[in-house]
Amino acid sequence: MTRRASARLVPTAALAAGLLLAGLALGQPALAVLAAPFALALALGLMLARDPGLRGDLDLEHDHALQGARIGARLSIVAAHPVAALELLMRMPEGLALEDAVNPVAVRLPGGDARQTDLVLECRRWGAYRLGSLVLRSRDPVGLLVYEGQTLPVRPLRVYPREEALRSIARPRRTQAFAGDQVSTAVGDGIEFAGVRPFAPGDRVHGINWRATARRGGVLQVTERHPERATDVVLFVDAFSETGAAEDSTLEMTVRAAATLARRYLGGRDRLGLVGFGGVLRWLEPGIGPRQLYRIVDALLDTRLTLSQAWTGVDAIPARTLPPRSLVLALSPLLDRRTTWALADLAARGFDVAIIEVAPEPFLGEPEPGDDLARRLWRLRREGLRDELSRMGVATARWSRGEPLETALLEVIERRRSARIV
Amino acid sequence: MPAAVAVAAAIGVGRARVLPWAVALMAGGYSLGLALDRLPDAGAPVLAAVLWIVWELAHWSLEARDGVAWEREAAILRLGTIGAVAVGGGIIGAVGLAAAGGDTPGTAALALGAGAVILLLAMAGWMGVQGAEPPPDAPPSARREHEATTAPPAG
Repeated sequence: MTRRASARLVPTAALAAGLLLAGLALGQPALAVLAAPFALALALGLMLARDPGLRGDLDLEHDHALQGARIGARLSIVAAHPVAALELLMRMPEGLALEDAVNPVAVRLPGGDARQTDLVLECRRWGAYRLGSLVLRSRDPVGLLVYEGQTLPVRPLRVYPREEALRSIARPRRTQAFAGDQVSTAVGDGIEFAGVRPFAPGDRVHGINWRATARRGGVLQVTERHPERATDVVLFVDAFSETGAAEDSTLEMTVRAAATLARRYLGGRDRLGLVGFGGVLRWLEPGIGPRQLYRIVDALLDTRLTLSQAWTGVDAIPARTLPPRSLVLALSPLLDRRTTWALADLAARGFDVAIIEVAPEPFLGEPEPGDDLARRLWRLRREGLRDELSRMGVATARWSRGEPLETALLEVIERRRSARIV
Repeated sequence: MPAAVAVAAAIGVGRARVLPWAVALMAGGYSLGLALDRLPDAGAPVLAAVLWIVWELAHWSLEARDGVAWEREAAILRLGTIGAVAVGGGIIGAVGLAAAGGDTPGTAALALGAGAVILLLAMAGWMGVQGAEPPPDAPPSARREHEATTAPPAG
């Protein structure tokens, strides 16, 4: 605890001294009498001030929660010496809020006894939080000296993003060499029927299609099938720009959609990677299974806007993070030129790129008088950007606040069917 | 009257710096009344207690702007302390006044008064120096400045 003088100390001392001096100088004992309570307060402050020896602890019901959930917490404060008035301020990280709690509050604390307060934390936004910033301020009984400090060991709390309902997902156009769930366009061993062709030396006998052979006048025919192969998908999360408030912004929607897509893709046997493209470039190489899901979701929780003027291009992303023949599914408000350039660059390099545009328009306020023209020009420019991306074979669909992610994804799937492949 | 206006203004605009001047104005008015023999000396302890209560409540009112909600027990205890200091100060003042006998103070009384002033200032100075450390959430520049001014000279 740190001791410091309160703002009242100097004025109190000055008044006491001034009144005493005035009484002496003017020869009026009654004037000096006025200084008595102020002088008494100073003496009491000096005698009674002592470090209260405060200790605090915070117990969380869970160390992880889902966005929107409420979790219980118990705050315990113990003082070695009685405290007449202890001011408590619990500093909550942005995205967490105390429900039905008075904060800050001044309480009386008897010495030696623990004061326990049950709290309810409302998890308003996903994120990796560290709770533990409790500011304690106690005063001596007359309030002239203040003991201040921050206490509590740090308690981690991970709030996972709320997921969207999703039935369909965009599939990569090309598959990898490994076995998976996705029907490949190639021909080989599999279940899905691909076609029939004449028997050739080296074909296995059990592959002969006897019905087709009979129809073709005895010329041996074999059945061809499509094999099931794994696909690689890379989620490209744009963290260069954000519109809206922390708890309701394009970045919040982006991470929510990325977490939903990650669970959906990794639910099958697809490999999934992550590229966090922003002021801080982060990546996870493609992988499979629940472990990869937790790695991706944990990485997403640390996504935040970092101001940077450095030009970041695709070259900065390690090559192993972007395997050939993978689908790069970008989630971006398309507000930063660096992201747009990077995505166009990837498309030009032959990557299968699709964009879910997290629409920033709903987060903009009403235009100021005279801003209408600027707003219209901005919209026109964005439409031009979408056309340009479309011409490059990049399917783009808008996802607006309040709309289901499924709608945007279905639009991406539909556009990819008709998009020209470069 | 001007003192009351000053207190109201201090609370109204949220400036604690105005409060000492308001109290000084009150004391000045009282002193003027004494000089003109319009006010009795015997009222000084009561006025001292009232001044202290006004001073404390005005400060509490200004602190309340920080949004700290006081629990009932803590608030009662604070009110009790304010009252106790007011009563204690009043009693000390009354005893002091009786000892002075209402006459013009002599050399001994003057020396006693001067000693009290020096003691007061020393007390305040000691408390201020002891508590001069910046708060834990102070910016690093304030902490560096504090360390630079309090650290013993090198060598």
